[in-house]
Amino acid sequence: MKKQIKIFRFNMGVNGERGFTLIEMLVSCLMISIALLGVYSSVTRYTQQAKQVRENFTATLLGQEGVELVRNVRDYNWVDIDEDTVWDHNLTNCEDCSGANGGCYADYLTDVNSPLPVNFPNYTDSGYLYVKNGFYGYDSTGGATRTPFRRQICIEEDADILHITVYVRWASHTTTVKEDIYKWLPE
Amino acid sequence: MINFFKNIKKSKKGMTLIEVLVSMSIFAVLSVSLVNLFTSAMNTQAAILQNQELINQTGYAMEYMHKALRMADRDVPGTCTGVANSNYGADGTKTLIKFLAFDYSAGGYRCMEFSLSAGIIKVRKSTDATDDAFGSYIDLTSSKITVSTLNFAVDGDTVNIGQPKVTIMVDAVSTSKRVNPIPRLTLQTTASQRNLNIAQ
Repeated sequence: MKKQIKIFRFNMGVNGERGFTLIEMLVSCLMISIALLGVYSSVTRYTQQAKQVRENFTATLLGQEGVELVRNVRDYNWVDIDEDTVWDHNLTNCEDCSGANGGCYADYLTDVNSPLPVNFPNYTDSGYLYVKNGFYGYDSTGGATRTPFRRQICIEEDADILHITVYVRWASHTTTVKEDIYKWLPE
Repeated sequence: MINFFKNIKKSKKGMTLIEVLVSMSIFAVLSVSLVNLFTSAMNTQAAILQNQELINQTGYAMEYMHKALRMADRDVPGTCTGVANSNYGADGTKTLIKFLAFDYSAGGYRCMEFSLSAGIIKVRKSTDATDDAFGSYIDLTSSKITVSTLNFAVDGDTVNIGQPKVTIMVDAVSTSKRVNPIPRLTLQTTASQRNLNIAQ
């Protein structure tokens, strides 16, 4: 450190004591600005996280809706005038959820009197939910706004239990809602 | 540092103009960035608080309505819903819903109504099974959030033919315009009625 570049230094004029060199000043400024930048970026990240919390909450409710739609089909099967209808009617083709096109999909307008639409287009544009006429659904025509959410309904049957798993995916996130519904009414 | 000031005193020599200018500019740059950092942290905190408020309030209202709606009973005379033998006043989309809700304190079914007024979700409870004896409106959300849309979609509300379900949609923003963008939530869920819709 003896041969310093003497671009600029505080000149005390006594005993040759030295202050900071320009290089030292620059380096310390750089360090301070890096520290500030770090704090700043962590602060802005919170805004991102707040958005994520909102989306997660929306996804949870959409997942709950998925479970309720399946429960509604089960109860419809019991209420249905057709006495032959079994409790899991229209719910048996949503099993294989492993691939890109597995499980079922349904929205609030889906007909409860026909099988749930299968082969959920998990990774394509057609799998998105849209907001139209004030509701989330799959109708993407005129005036519908695409949301980031995609919902996949999977049903595994185990004797008198239907294990429902609803995946709601958005961006790179997934929210999973699980519920078991039972055949509590003797047929 | 102490020596530095001592020396200045001793040698009766001040700082040069360039020293003063440089130190002032460093101070200015640092303080400006610190103030910026502080204000942005304050804004972020405000945004997070508003976000939390929005989620809490819409979540509460959603849960309250979901629970009341799924526990509803059929209105045989139609004195509450306005439609005989319906659970939620027949199929269709509506912004106000009247139904027979289970009242735990009374141990029976009472007419209940959900509606939206001036950005606030409101509930009214009747003292009996008709819509003639409604009490006063009770707010489910506060003025800290503004609910722009409250929609209900009823489906399957026909005895022996369908099992009713109600889809609830709530669109709400934070009332305070302090943060940008204003936090907004578009929520939807469905309640499938728990009582089976079979004629007794």
